[in-house]
Amino acid sequence: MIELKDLSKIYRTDTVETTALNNINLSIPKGSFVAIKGPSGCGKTTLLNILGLMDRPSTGEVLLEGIAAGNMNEKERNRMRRSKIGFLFQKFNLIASLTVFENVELPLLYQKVDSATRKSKVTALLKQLGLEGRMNHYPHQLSGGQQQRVGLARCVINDPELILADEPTGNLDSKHGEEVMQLLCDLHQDGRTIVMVTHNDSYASYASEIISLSDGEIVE
Amino acid sequence: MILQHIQLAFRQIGKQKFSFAIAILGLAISFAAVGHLVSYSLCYRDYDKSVESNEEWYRLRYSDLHPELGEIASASFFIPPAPMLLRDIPEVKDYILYWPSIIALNLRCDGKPFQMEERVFVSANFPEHYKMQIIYGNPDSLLSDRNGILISESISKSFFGDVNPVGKSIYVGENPRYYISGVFADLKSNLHLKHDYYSLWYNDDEASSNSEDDWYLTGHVRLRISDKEDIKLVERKLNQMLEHYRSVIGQTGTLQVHLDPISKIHFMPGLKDDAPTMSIMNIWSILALSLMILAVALINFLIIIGLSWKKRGDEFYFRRAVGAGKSELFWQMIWEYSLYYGISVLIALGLYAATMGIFRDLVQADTFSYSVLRLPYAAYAVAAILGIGLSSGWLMSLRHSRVMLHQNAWHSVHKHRGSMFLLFMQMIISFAFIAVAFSVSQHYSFIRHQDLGWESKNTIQYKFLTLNDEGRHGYYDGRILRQRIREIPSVAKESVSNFNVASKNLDDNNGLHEIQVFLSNSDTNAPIRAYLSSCMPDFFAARKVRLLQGHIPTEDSDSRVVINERFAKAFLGSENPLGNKLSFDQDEESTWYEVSAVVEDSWYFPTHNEMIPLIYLLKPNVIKYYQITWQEGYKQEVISALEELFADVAAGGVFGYSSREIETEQDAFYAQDRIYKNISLFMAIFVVLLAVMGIYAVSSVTVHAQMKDISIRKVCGAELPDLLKLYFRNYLYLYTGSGIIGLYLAYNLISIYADRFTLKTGSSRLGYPVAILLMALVVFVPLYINILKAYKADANRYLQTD
Repeated sequence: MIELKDLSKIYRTDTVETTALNNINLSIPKGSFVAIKGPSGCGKTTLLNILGLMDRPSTGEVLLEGIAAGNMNEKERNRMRRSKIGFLFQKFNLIASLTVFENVELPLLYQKVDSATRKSKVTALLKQLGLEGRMNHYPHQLSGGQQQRVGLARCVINDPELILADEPTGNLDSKHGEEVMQLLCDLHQDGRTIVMVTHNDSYASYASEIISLSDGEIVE
Repeated sequence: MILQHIQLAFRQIGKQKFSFAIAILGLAISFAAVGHLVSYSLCYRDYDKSVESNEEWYRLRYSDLHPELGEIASASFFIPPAPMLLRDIPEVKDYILYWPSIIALNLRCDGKPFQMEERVFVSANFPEHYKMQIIYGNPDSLLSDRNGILISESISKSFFGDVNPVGKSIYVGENPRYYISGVFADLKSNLHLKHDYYSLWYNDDEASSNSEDDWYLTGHVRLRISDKEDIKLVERKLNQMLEHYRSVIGQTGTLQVHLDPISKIHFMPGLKDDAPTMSIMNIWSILALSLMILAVALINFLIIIGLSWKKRGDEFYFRRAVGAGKSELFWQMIWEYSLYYGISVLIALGLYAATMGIFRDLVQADTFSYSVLRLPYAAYAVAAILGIGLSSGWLMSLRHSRVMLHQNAWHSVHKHRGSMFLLFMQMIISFAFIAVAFSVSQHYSFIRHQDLGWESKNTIQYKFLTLNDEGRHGYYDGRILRQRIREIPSVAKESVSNFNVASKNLDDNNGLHEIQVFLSNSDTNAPIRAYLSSCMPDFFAARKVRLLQGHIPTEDSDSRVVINERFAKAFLGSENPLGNKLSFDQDEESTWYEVSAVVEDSWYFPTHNEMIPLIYLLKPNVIKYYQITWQEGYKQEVISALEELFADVAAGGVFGYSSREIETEQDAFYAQDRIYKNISLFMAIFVVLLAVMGIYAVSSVTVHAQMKDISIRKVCGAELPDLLKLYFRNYLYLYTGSGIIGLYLAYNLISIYADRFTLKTGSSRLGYPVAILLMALVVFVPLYINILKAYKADANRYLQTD
């Protein structure tokens, strides 16, 4: 499903050149659960952003279902991201001024889904995640675990084929971390492809494949 | 510590050059503009106040109240009997007389024509009353005899250079008649009776009260009444006096005197022979507009300073972490604020000083004497600047130090309710300003360029007294003069009238005589009041005054008249006006004139005045005004030839001549309105610029503070239109709300302005759509730019893990 060919990412300022990713070649089959490990600054998040079409590589190619992402314009990348990719963040990245319901509803809103469908889908999903009583709460009224479940709900509401999770348990205690991992496993069981960045070995062990990064390169 | 705060403030200016430049320069420009406008308003507010003991002087005037005709208010009083008031009414301590002569004489001095276009006769104490500074001449004998003429410094310089002209003879024809008795320093511009030539008012007979002649001549009369308590008493005595001499005065209504404080006379509308120098509404609205512009600039200043503090939420958060309390944050902020404000005031002072001359020329008023850099105004200016600075700085620092204390860094940059409120206020003022300025401008343009009902383009008017017959001694024959004018190459046409076609005051001096008229078909026999003047029959065709009904009689038709549309509509209603008869007297022997034509209304006067009902007689024996139109492109040639011609025809007689270009005269009608329009437009442009900058600054910070939200939305699939919709919605509420309030405010201001003109125009309504459109651009373009920048920014920066 995803193929990275000779992919590099270099950040340049006037005086400094930093290589975030160096010559990455990777293939992620559809339905797999991949964990990306590595120390801070090794390029994990950069790789995830490139996979999520939020960033462009300096060189190399990204193929999503055989389509070269490099050839897509911003609109096409947006459309692809909107329909096929879901993001899960360490810091949840919920919009503080929106309620739980409104946060989860966002992707559907941008897909121009009608109001009734949005309402039924969001309600059903929040119920499934045990958040039906929190629909009208604001993010700051929720615990970290609940916030991440809202983040997960928002991530999957548009039924994406690929879920990119950037240290989804990083801000959670072990109990809530386990909960989130279990939900990710359930999504994997449903056939979704999951790419997760993590520092934690035990959470990495949930994945079917572990990729280690160091200084922007894949290490065996 | 203070030094550290000031250093930090300088660093902030360096870091956010653009924002601070807008804030500081905007406030400085508005301070300078307000300073100028205040000087301008003070200059007009102080009209006539520089005379000796101004609070004790009153203009004496009378009105004639008639049951059918209403009140006819005059600015004048009867001049010859005035001296006896001093004798008969002990409460009157002194008096001033002023009578302008409308007849120019053919004078020569030092072998050259000495043009004394308008000479005024005044009482001997006039120089003292006006605190004249005498440059040449004996102050004790300036106006001691009837032949002495007191002239202004500028006239003296233009005619005699630096030579002392006192004692020089002025000739009428070959005979030395007058002499120059003194030269006075030019009077301040804001004096009501300011002139360049003064002669002594004299009366051969002892001041009396029972001669008809004495009660005929009217002019400007001032009385000094030291005790305000006596005003009513003096008015009562004067009313009794008028009642006593009623038969001699010859008025039919109830006469009543009025004593107006002289500091107020130049604002007084509704007097038939003295148009107000300035509308008091103009003064107040200019002051109100200048306060609004200051408010807009101050709001901008507060928004930008406030947002710069909010941007530094982290810094204040960390200061708190290392022990700073509310007081420390407050003092840091107030020192920073003082620095920004102080720089702005310094720049304002420089700008104000540098532009004083330009502004004085623009408004043509003595704004130097009322400069806010001079005492006592400087003291008020300092107090106002300090007051505004201290109160705004105190409130801002208090509010922001509290916000920083009670909220964490994230919230401090995330909430902008205060800024949004200020922005809302600014938008209200901007809406109002744009609509008002555009409407005023449109209205002015319409009034100034309207079809006045007669053709005034490329025309000059000569004032010269002639007889429309074979000339007697001292008069030139009008027919011969017309013939000679027609013979000048490139003269397109000429016309003659007994009324001034560009007159500011509708009075006898301008040939428009307000009279009582009796209509033959009237049931009541009650008179009506209308204006009477005369012109030659060919005047209407030459000046394209459209004939609406009937036909223009010939010069030989002694008993036929032409009326204007206003007369026909007001007094003859729906009946056919032609054939109606009217008379100017009720005696059995009085002549009845038949209406033989109705012509369209023509504005020979400013459109501030209502259209007058006018009767044209068509056989003027005496002709005063010659209107000559040149062919396009031949102005100089025609004017040179006319000057030569009039100098020639005047040379043999006693009368002099003067000329005025109609275009220039009509411009002068609307000088104050033009200044008002220019000021409004200038201020509107300034306000729009400030609003653009304010909205850009606020939307930039608002959008920047929500970059994380925007990034999340992007991750969720939001595209540019989605973000635009989101942010535009909030600003749309602001826009709509401020638009409704601002345009309502504008509606009231425009109505007040337009009420000053009797000629109504629908063009002022254009201001509203223009304001709506311009403000849409002002609000949404800066917002669009900021959202576009946010959309194109790298979302990852705002979503990354720690």
